[in-house]
Amino acid sequence: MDWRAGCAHATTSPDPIVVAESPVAGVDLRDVLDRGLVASNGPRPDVVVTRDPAVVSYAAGSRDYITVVLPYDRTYVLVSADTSPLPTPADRDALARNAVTADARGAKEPFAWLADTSCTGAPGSPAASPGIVAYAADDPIARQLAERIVALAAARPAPAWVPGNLSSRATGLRVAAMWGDSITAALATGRAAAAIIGITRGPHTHCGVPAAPLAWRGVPLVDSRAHAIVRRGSGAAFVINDDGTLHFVRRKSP
Amino acid sequence: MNFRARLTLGMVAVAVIPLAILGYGVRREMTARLDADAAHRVDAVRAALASELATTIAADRARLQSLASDLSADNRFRIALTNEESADRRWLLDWAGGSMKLADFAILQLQDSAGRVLSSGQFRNDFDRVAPALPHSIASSPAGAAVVNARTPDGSVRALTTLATFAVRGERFTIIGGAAFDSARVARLSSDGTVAALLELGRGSPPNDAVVADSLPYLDEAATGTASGTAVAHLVLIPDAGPTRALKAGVVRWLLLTLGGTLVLAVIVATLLGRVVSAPIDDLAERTARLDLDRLNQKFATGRDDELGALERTLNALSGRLRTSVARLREAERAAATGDLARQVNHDIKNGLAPIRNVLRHLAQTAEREPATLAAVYAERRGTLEASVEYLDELARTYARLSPALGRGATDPRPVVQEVARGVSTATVDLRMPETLPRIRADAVVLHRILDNLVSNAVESLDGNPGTVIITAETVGTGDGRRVRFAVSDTGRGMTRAELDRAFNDFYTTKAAGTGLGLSVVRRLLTDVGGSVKADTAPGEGSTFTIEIPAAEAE
Repeated sequence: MDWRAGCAHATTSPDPIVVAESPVAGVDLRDVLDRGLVASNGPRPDVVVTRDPAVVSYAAGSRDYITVVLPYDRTYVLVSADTSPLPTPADRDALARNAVTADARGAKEPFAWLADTSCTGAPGSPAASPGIVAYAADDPIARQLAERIVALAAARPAPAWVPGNLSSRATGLRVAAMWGDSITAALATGRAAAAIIGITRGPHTHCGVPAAPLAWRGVPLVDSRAHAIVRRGSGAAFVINDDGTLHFVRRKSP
Repeated sequence: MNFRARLTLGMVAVAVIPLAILGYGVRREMTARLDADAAHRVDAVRAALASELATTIAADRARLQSLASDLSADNRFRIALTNEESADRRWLLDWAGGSMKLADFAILQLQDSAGRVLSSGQFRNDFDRVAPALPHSIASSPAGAAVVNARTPDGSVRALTTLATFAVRGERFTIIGGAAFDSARVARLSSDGTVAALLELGRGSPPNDAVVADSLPYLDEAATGTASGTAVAHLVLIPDAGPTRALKAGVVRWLLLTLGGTLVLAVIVATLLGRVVSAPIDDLAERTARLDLDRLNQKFATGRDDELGALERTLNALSGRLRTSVARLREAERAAATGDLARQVNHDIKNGLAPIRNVLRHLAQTAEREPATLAAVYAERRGTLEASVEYLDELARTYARLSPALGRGATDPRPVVQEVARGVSTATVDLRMPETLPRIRADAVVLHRILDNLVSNAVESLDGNPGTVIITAETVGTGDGRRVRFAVSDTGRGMTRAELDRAFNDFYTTKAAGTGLGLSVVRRLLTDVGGSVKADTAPGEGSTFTIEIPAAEAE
């Protein structure tokens, strides 16, 4: 079962109850672990998949759950029309260590979108933007990275890997949360100068960064991974694939 | 300007000017008091605001001191300082965010001694930035605070900040923090609804109409990217001039309304009053204008018992006295005229009788001495006798007519002149007259009386001494100005200037037996016929009287 497919669902026996990420905006997953899904008035979940460090930390201290670290499955990149050098591994590690609160590391190769040259093209000229670094509104890791980019762009001197179109206008630079495809539209129309986009790690990425304009450069920043929190005694069983997906097997009858 | 206009202006002046002065004084006094009240309120708000600011800064500083105390005691802080890759490093990065929320601050920042940001509450990932200007500005401020517009990931936040310091491992650390200091917060600092508190940011001076309550250093990180360059944040108080302005406008509006009403009322009252007062005065003036010596029967009294009634009674009494006086005057005039007439008749008769007396005396002398020639002398002097009788007869007819104007028929002057010359027997007469003279516009009797009076005076001026009386006649002027000039000159005693000035007055004479009417009669008669008279005389050198009478027809 690919847990990324649904936000939340409760299934009837014998399938396990799986909660992926935050089931409902504003709902604390720790409450879900303790009391179950209030909306379905059902039992507590069997498996919760999350990147929230607070939830992971809470579950690790609970006797009712065990936590399983999943593989790094997502890479956050800084997308801009500028062609700046890539941050060094040390820079990327520092970002993962200090700027992001979730379980992350400095982005590691392969960077498939950089290696794919099948659909190269000249980067479009960056339109006059209001100095915005966009991020997905429901992604706290993207927000933290965007904030750090804004802070570094104001530093004098700014790190070399920070795109010049950001560091040149550091005083007016700010972050802005956006939803869904609006990031793509903002980049294409110049309403955003850059964006933090999380892309799935793997060799299947081609023709540049998904959701970014063609041939815009995606600078790898950090990799992140989720944690699977399994309720003790739930009988849930799954296999972790190489790409980080979970394959659930038939649960035992209680 | 008539009485009604004066009365109207007077009423307007009496009513409007004091009212205008009163209004001006009220407005001035009110303005002064309102301004004083506004200044008093501003002073009170300034004191309260300064106290509130000091209290706020002290409370914030106390909270920062508490945070500093906790932080210095926390081992995680020490570990984070020594090992940047430890998990406590991440705790330190998050420390300011959590503590800022607990302290209800808008800004919380932890800096090391070099000004490097170790943890930022308003901008979690702004760590490692070096910004020493902010703590330096706060430390150097007398109030120990500064206003800062700090960057946040998605904009900026303005806060009133202060600081607390502590030392760990011998290194000095600074915690900077404070609550939001936006417009709403500043506005709440003023407890008086009529005094607005504003925060003026920048390097310039506050507005002229503002009262600066306090000034603090101001740093704008959002604009400069770093806290460098110090400006000044002025906390200014601006009294709300709206109510005062409205009150002043209201007073002025009511004042103008009152002035306008008073003006209209004054004009109406003055008009009515003027009509009441001036109407009888106009009537009185009209009746007085009709008053003259021939119409003294005007009645003024109307029975009023006020001042106008008194004036009417006075005028009534005056007209009565005038009627009496005029009657007396006319009676006197009549008496005087009768006397004048009697004297003039006497004079004229004497002049007419004198030639007759002379002829009779001559005839008597002839009858006594040369009887044989009596008939011849009589025949010679008969014309004189007849002329004198004719003169007296004409004189009688003239006086019979009394006042009617003397005739102005055309008269040939030559026979009259010759007759007058012939009437002189006691002096030599030198008659100088051309053959022809134009006829004059005067009656023959009038001309005769004029010349006879002048010649008689000339003869009498000789005082019985030998002498000559010269009579001349000539034509002067042309056209409508043509006239006949007669001159009677003598070589007699002449007259002084004083005598000449009075010579034409009635009853003035230098002769013992004279009537004093000769020259006055001459003057009157010449006036009647439109002629003129001129005298040239000097004592001992004789006199020349020249008269001119208009010709009856143009040349």
